[in-house]
Amino acid sequence: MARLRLTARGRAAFGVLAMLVIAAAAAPLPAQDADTTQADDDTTGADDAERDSAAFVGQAAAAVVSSYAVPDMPAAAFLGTTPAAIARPASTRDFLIGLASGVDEHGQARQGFALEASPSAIVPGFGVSLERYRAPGVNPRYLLANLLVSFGAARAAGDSSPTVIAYGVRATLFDRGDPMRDTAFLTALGDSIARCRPRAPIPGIPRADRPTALDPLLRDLLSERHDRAVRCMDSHTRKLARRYARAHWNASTLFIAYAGGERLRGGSFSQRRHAGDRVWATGAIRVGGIAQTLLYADWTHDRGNSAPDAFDALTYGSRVNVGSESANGFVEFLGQTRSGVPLGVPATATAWSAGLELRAAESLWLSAGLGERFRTTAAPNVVAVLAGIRWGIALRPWLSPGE
Amino acid sequence: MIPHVGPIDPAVPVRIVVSCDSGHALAFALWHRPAGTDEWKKFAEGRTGDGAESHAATIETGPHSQIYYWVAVSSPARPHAAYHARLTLTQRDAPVPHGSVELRGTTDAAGNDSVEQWLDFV
Repeated sequence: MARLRLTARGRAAFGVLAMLVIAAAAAPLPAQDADTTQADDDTTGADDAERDSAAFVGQAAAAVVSSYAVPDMPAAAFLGTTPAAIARPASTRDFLIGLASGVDEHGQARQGFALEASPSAIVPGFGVSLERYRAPGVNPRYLLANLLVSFGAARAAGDSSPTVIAYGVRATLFDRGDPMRDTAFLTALGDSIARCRPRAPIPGIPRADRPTALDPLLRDLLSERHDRAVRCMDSHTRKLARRYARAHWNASTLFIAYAGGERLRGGSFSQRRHAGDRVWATGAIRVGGIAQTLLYADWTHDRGNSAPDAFDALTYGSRVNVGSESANGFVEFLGQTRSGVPLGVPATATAWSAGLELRAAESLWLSAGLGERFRTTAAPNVVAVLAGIRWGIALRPWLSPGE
Repeated sequence: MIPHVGPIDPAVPVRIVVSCDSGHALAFALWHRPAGTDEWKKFAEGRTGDGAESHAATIETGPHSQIYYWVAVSSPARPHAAYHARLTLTQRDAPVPHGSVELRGTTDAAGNDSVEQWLDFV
């Protein structure tokens, strides 16, 4: 795969080029509203309230399209929560026990409940071997292995707020960057984890003709060995996965997800009302060796607590990434269309962003950008102003799509 | 409790197949300790990508002998994922009683886990 590798001179040239590009792009900024990425031409004649609303919707779009990825756990995304603990059952029995734990002794939904499961792991006969997983072409087993269902429950702020339970599903339709379908990666992965193999069994194992209960000392020894082996594997496989991700950062992919929810008055399942639905779809298209186009769509149907609160919103985004593991840039266009907005508030708003980033040294990134993306997601460790341009200096890349 | 596998026929070798039904790469090692001895001897090891069509080993053994196993699974693309590996013991192509050892769990944030344990032949 073609990869862009910059020499010291190349990096210096990139830095100068970046400054010029940003300076050129920054020139019209004073003519723009400080809080919106809409050009003056788009907002001429609009009153301040409308302009502020458009900026708000644009910012909302930038916040929603935070990573061009469908959520790992759609049920939690629907609830807008980050569960402190997620049950991940590995068998049918554990799944049923996990589901039952979401209901308390009074038959009401338990707050903070979160469960994620893979049908291929919990449904007998749905297992997928690595050989079947890697089968080329349309591969139902691949879809099955990457299918995840999730459940969650949360209560909105306020004592009288109803409990909301959510259910979701996430599917990978295809992922050309999946290392588990790459023969060379799998060989290297097998080698890596085999290096963590213990040299001999733990000492002190009783013979088979003696009592065979596992005593606490042996249990501790096994636990210690397990932790050591997993640490060793983590160390080896993380490096391997990072290298693979960098080499395949612009791979083509397609993911979809759905989540729905029910509002339970008093936490009771018998007094439920459909809360709404949300659908996500993201795709990536590899463009040559150093570029990628990302597409994002997110439709929300919220029924609210009553009819006047109901709304539908479609958030969408398109982004072009160009670069490599050491230098990259992007241009993106975001938008949101919303129904049920008050009179005078625009139902549609758009925003754009652009940015450049350069790895100056190991764990030291230099970045600059314009637009909502830069404002809403940039969190540099240090901000410096050079040649009139705001540069973020960070210990990790934030523009890089592979990170 | 330690799994008791068998009864087995000491006149026939035991075949052990290590497999994974959750799309994970795996690595394994197997040791054997004959009845009445203290010494463990490794008799098989393997890993994904080593060219073997299936991960299987054969050992001549008997009642009161033991097998110690280490099985590791990995899928860096799927952290916190449930896995399902299995040791299947057969003699003359027939399952050994209690000879299907299920290894289930959830991988860590890097997509890895390992299991080591032993089983006693009866």
